[in-house]
Amino acid sequence: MNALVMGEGSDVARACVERLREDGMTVVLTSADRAVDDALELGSRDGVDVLVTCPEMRVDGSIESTSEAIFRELLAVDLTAVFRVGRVCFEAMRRRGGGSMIHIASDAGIRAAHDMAAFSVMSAGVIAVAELFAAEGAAHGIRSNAVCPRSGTDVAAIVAWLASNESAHVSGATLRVDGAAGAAMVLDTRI
Amino acid sequence: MERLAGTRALVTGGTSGIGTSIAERLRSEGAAVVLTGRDETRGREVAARLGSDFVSADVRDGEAVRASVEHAVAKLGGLDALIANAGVLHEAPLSETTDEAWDAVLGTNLVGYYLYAVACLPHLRAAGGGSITMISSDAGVWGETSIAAYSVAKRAVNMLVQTLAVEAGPHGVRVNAVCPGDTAPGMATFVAGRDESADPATWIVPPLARVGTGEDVAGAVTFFTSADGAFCNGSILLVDGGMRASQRASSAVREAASRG
Repeated sequence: MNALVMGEGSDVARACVERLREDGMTVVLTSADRAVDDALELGSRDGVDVLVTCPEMRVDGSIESTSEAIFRELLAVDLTAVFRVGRVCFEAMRRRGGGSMIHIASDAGIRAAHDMAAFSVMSAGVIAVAELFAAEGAAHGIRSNAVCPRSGTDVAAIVAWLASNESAHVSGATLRVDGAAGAAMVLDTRI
Repeated sequence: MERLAGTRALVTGGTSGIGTSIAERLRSEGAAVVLTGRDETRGREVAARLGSDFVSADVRDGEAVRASVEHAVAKLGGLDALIANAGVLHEAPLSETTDEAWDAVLGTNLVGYYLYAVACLPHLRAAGGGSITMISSDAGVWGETSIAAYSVAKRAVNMLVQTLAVEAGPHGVRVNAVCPGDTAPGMATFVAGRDESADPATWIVPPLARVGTGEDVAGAVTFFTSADGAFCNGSILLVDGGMRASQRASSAVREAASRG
């Protein structure tokens, strides 16, 4: 099994690479700016069975404090790159008869985090990308899921599960991995 | 009834479709309106008919957006409401979406909305409060494979609305989304191969057994913009005839018809 992991410089990506290698996969680590080339090469050489994408850039602050240049850069790195590498891997997986995409977004993509507002916006977009690849890929044996950790959470085990056949019928899912932080709003101190 | 007397509003993409319906309704409710659009001839014609003003702007261009906002504020003497509406639709599943189509759809529908919101916020605060209403889509609530990039952009727009609601709310600026379903005339009529004369009766319809109208959307916008919507902030309102109410909503009409 061959895996491509996008997210160079990301601890989450590094943990995923280690775990997928432990599980016996051949893993190529790439970055948002090289991902399409690496995906094309891997696809034509060995084939792609698993794609994992991780956000490489995080921006704190409000929407209004996010400059046009930063907003555009964040869109390019954290959302457009996910779409582009996903599109290449979708085709490679279709030729191979299936595969599993795991798109790591953020809990901020499910419920807004206004203190990292632009990142919230892009994360919501990543979840939509994961769902759309899932819906389109179902006919080709291609699964696609979104994993949404609170920052700092280790999701390698969940990624490994989604990459494996253990999760064969799980596609188009959004897994919030935040220790229940987003499960319900807690406004009092009785708990 | 003039629920918007004294309101100074900017409507992006106001020269056709839903945008024109919104501008018409805002005018009839007493608002002063400036429209933006890319088609200068049509823009001037629509603006003249409505007794409003037009400024040409490509929403993908940050400088043009900021200039159009300054123009609108100068014309109106301030700003109380932004209706971000200018959008483009591209019909393709995600795997067949080109880089060019993705960039056009995300650039217009997401970056364009961000640019207008940021350019307008200082003016809305200076007016002592106001509102931003973003025209999103039911595809932003629940994506559609055939309009994939658009679905992604609209999901992101809904999150943009919620983050902005939190940061602008303390300044009295409310930010909300209206999510239309298929609307005639609206985005669907701009899809290649489907012209304005295409019979909406052939479209897949929601439980209300018709496609939406520009007036349906304009009503929701009026609600959010007026005092009636004074406590709405970060609200994502479906105006889709029930299309997203069930995963099999479109079959409800046929089932009802077969029962007589």
